[in-house]
Amino acid sequence: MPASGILYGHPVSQPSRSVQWYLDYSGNTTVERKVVDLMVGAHMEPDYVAKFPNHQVPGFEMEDGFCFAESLAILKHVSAGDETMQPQTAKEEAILNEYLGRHYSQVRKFSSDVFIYFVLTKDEEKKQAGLVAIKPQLESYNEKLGKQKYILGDKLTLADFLFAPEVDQMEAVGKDTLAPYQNIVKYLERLTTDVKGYKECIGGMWTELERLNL
Amino acid sequence: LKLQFLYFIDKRTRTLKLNKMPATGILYGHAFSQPCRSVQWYLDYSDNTAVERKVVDVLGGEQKAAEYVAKFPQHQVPGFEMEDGFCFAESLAVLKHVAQGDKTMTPGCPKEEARLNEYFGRHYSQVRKFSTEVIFAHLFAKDAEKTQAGLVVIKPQLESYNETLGKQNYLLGDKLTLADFLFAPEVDQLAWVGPETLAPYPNILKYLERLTSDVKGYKESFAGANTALGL
Repeated sequence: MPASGILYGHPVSQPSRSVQWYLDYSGNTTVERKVVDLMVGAHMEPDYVAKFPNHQVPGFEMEDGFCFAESLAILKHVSAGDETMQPQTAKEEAILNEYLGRHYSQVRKFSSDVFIYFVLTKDEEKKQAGLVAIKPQLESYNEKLGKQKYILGDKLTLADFLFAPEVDQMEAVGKDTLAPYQNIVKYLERLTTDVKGYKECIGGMWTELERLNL
Repeated sequence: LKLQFLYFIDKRTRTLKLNKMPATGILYGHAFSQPCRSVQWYLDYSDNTAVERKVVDVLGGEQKAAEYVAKFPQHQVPGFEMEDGFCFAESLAVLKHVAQGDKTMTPGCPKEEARLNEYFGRHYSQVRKFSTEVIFAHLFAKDAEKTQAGLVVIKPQLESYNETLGKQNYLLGDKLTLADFLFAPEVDQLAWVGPETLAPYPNILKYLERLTSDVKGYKESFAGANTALGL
């Protein structure tokens, strides 16, 4: 059955966007969505911390009140009934899990450093250092996306839902930040035209950034 | 005779599934590497003798040799090679692959699965991220200041897990899970910084003692890492 429950998130938070995009993509209308205003510290409020002690977004509350966090966990939970998102062979599963490990240790680790310096601390030096640190990853994925449509091959997987919000935000950091990585740019264009929910996912980010005057 | 059924009922999805046989293939790793230890420990725990183990001399740079890079372009350990030559890396992927036939390591309900996946996310971004910085600063850079700075950064995580382990036997409850196989090698190595390093976290120390006495393969895993480093 389609997942139900409550998703707590924010339109600028990349991991929140991953889950929100998947819900739109899959036409899910049974998961309620609540915005946690990170900019005013709503994630540190007692009510929220009581549910999510690590005060993270996204957070997910099941119908019986059971709460958990981490985009990986939530994405897998809300897509549990979607056969198209389940690996069909041991190799497909290995490749997906391999990306899930790299997503945190390579992609998100560097992209979030860049974005935090852009959004929160405005530390230009650290931002530039972050862009240098992420360069090998962007080059690697750029090469890969020159040979295949999506991150893990020619089939859309949960890896794309995690990856795209981490890299598309680079354009928010600075115009033409992704210009050296034309295959990534074309990949994001493909997502915009071919994959339901992605245009709204990135549109929501831009709208919120404008509202925050960033 | 122990009967091996071809099928089992997956309680979570209420479907009939084919029993997966113990994993086979080749594990490439090193006794010191924490993610390698996670997988090697699980193989010992589960009495898997079908996976061949090959040592990659990471301290000597063997992971960058052309032959290894041809299999594992990111020159990581652990790496896993399936019987048909298909290769992949990342301890999460390798551990899940070798444990796929083990029903005791398969979440029994959506909540158990959510908690396990929640830990997988936190493992990289919170536990491993900080523990490796401490160990690299201490063992390789020999930088006492950075080591201590790293211990300050990891403190909230250790305090949190110390509190959790004061209430339950293992990381996610009273049942051993794949989360323990990932977590323990990241925290036990902090003892190399000095005997006082884990002293503020007595529940973590008791947890490691429980693993040593109760969980097959753990004692050898930690001892093997010590030997590999000449400690």
